[in-house]
Amino acid sequence: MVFSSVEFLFLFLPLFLLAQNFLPWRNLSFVLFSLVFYFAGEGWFTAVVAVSVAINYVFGLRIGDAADPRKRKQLLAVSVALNLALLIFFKYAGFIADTLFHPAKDSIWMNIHLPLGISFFTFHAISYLVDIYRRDARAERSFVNLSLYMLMFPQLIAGPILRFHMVAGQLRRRVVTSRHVYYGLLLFCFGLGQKVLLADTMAGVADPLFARADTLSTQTAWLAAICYTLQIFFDFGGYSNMAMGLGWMAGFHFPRNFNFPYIARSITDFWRRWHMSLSRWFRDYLYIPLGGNRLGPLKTYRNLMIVFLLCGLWHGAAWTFVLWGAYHGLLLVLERLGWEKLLQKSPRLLQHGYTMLAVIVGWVLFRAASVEQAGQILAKMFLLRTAEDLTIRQILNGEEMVVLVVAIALSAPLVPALLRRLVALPGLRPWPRRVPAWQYSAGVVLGLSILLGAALKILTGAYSPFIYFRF
Amino acid sequence: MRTRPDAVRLSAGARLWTTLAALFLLIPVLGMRLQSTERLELFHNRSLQPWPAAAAFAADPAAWFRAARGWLGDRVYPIRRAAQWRKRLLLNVFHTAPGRQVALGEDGYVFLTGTSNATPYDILENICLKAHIPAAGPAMRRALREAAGYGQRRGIAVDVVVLPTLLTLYPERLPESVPPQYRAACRAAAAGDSPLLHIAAPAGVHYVFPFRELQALRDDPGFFPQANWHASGWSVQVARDAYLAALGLAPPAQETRTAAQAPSEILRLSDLTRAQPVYELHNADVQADGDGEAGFRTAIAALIPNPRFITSVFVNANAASGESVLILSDSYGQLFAPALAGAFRSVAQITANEMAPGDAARLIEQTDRWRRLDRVILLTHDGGAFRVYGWTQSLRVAATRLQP
Repeated sequence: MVFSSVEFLFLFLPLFLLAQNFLPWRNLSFVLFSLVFYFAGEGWFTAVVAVSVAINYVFGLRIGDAADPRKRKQLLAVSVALNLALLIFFKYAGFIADTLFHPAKDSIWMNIHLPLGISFFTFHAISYLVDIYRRDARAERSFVNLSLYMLMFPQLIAGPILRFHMVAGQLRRRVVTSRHVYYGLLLFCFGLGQKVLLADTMAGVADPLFARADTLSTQTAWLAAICYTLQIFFDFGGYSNMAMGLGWMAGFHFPRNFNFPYIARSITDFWRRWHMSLSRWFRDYLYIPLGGNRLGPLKTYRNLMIVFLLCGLWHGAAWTFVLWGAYHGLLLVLERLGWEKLLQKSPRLLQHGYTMLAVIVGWVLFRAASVEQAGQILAKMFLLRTAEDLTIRQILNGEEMVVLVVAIALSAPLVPALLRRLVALPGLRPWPRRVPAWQYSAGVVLGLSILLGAALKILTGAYSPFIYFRF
Repeated sequence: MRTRPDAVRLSAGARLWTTLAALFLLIPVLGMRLQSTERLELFHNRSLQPWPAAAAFAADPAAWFRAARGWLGDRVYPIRRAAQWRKRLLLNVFHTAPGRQVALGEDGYVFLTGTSNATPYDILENICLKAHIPAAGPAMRRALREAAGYGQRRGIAVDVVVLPTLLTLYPERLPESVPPQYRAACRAAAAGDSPLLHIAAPAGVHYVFPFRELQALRDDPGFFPQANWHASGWSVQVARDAYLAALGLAPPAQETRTAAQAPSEILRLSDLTRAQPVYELHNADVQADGDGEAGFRTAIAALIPNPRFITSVFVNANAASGESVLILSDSYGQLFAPALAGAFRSVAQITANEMAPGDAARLIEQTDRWRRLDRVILLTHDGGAFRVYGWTQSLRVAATRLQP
């Protein structure tokens, strides 16, 4: 079930809100709704996530109760290995088998079902276990609360990734006020608009172009890459905003996942702004344990490469993702080697230009169906081997042209900053104490307008793929 | 397992807001009962998806939920109105066609380029790429020979009329969003390269493709309605007159032509209205024959699988010709029939798109039993010429069974 579907928006969500309102066991009802949400998409494969919760519940308690540091470490190693084994079996077995011994397409290895969101709930589980091991949080004694942490439907299948110690307190006790509901609804509407009105429209341009990569001209290859760059940001950013909005409505404060990544001035800066919950997870649970930047430059570069290779693999079991991860790792190492300092001395426009170019090239690797296809598109983009193809005017209709311009404008913080003067908007920091009532009214009008605009597209069954579901 | 009912606290304001939001979001589901199944089926142009069987749940719950989603998606309220609003928004705000099978040209031209969103260019392909290729010449000549053979043996004149479309008459108005190969092919057809223009009919058959006649008058904005699929009014009048001239008949003297405004036929398919200049033909001598049409439908009903097939019958007591004519056609025949009735005693028309082509001869026989036929006109637009080939094959087979 996706947030921008008829069944979620007009049936599941209102019933969930009513249940949260009128049922006393809110965490339990939240878990049950989350199970239905997952079951509707995955059927009996829900057992995989249920088993994962059960294993982590038991191991969490044992790690929490163990006094002997060696035993704690052993328990952590076993439990993390179990989680990774589950992830590797379902997500990477086919890829590993294909790489090592090229089994037939119809062999069992190539047809292992990938449960939705397995990368996300595995990372949640590891965060839980490591936080208990480090004593950053107490082991969760309530099975319902742990189930809620791992299964919570707003973030179950596409994040943001919640580190356990950040939400442990909210699982046990939280307060929902009218302001939470207002901000939650508004954020959900913003996310829905980003997803349905912007990302889906850009997908309608990018997908057919990527599907015929071999016939693109330089112009259309760039158009494909730019539209996908916008699609993935508004798709994933929109989903994250919807998840955050749903969290607010239920009294949870999820961390912000995006901070205008396309205004970054270096790739280092980009990763401080893009999928921030994933970056933080890798930093806290992999990069720092590997030694981070404390063991000298060479080991820092090694750690960065390891983190980004794994980050690429986390996104998907394919060589394109490995390449994408390696590419970003390499850029980060280059920036550490002095390229970033050099950049800082150059004009801002050049910094932005370099970053966007690097990011767009990266997205071509990320989006392409194969390394060969990525090569075809990049060759068209840079080697100017111009083939006869449609012009941009032939490809984009009126709606797509307007959305392209609006999407570019909304990728920068200027419009949201202007909007903030008119509308009571949720932000990174705690909200101001006094917001004029008319700003709330303006927010309601804005939210309703976006909701109605998105609903028009949703009701009429417009094209709506969700990129991050496959991760 | 431990959890306390009071671990989460909601303020009264939060309860009120969430309840209001939930009720608002439930409108599309609660409103489903306000819509009739019949209208929804018309809107979707197919049967609505049924509620999945409970027995299928255990075998594959995800598939069961997908089917339930389909059921909900078909009925959600107000889906018809939402589609209309979205299409209006696309057309009026973004100047974007309401579907991929519609192309918006400049100066108000609207082209139907495909039969559905999934096949946005199949009409263009039929008309501009397939209908005017060199092979079309021999195919049409063979069809005319087959028609002539049947006509001679059966004692019924069989003629062929092919009408140009907006796509071949105004190819330069196709927008740039239409792939260049189609635009180029339509331009080539319009430039006079079509083999359909260079066909001499065998004796006993009249063949009319009044492309040049229509092209000569195309600059008048209402001549061929610029946002319609079908030729109507003045353009039909010119085509009809070209056909009558081939028979040696004069145009009907009583007929008048007036300029008017009418909604776009193509946009109306998407529940949109946009007025365009048109011409209307009036002839007081031509009368719709309701009783005759009922008899005609009864006579041929067994041959058409869809009971909603389209027919019309017109009579004209003051016609110059006393002949009784059958127009076996695609939808282009629907507006041609009343115009033709200005010159003939009786004109019956059937839109035979859904009839098996092999049944053409039987259809003529059944019609002839209902009302003695003097003449049959096989009529299509230029992209539908393949129908003519199918129908004449049926006539050829039937002719072999007739005594010379």
